[in-house]
Amino acid sequence: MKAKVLLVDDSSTALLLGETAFKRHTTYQVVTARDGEEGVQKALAELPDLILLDVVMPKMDGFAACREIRKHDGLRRVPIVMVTSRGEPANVQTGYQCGCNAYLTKPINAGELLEIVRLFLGPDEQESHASSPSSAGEDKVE
Amino acid sequence: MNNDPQSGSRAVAGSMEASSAEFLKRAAACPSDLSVWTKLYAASQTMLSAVRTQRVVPALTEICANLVGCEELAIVEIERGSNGVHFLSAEGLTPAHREVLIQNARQLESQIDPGNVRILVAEEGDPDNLGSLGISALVPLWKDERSSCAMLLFQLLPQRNGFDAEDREILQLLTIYAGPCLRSQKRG
Repeated sequence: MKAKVLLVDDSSTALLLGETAFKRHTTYQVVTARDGEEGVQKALAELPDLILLDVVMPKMDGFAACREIRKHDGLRRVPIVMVTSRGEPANVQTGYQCGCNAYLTKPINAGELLEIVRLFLGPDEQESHASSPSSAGEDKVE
Repeated sequence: MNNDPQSGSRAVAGSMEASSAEFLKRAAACPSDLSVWTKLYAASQTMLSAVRTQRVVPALTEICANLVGCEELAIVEIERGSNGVHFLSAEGLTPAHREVLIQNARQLESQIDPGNVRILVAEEGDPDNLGSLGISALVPLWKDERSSCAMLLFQLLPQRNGFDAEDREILQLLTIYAGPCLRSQKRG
């Protein structure tokens, strides 16, 4: 069964980046939302296995959305990762107070993101194939 | 020279679509989930959408914030001769910052070299002292007989320790495509 990942961000660049990264893995299904309000609605409707939540968004910010999500029984245990440019300690602290499980700062670092996803969703079955020696060394700009 | 903005816009979009498809192909072949190709693909798609919606400036701001980690940037157009400065965008800039740019318009204008992204770090040097204006990167957008235009990046977010090779690739993409997109929008 596919693990469902909900990406909530008002930036189309950030959503596209996340979607493209996750869709490489057939074991992940990606759902997106463009603001905090829609994020809460999608979380309730889709019951994702992991939520990546931006902080600065229209209608409802990520902190409020995180608090709102945590009010619902079916979503109390779903891992929420704040992904934001606001990396100041006070913001990180607020994120945890609102109920997030991890906090990543933008721009997203590939290693950090993968580590977080592995931590909450377990290793992807495609990983061993994707990191085979035959495909190594292609991550280089010519 | 083709002065039809619609035709210019279509040509840029066509070229960007081809590049974007190539980035996606390379991203798929790359072992890393978030390779530079994925970032270039996301940036090119955002630019393509911006061309269609005529919202190039917000797209540039979004790309720099999300992919480079810079939320302080200006897009300036400097008139030839008068050195009058028009701010097409001044995200996160203080009035003092703006004033410094206006006062140094001539110096800035002389440093806009189309296609040549300049990252002002110690190892690359800063002979023109642009760093003293608070600029950390200069991304030329165009230069012609009427004006010169560039995107100026100031301070990166605190979590960034300077620009890396991937940032340079993204800024290089913007210097190729953002200028024509912005000009076609202005003319249209």
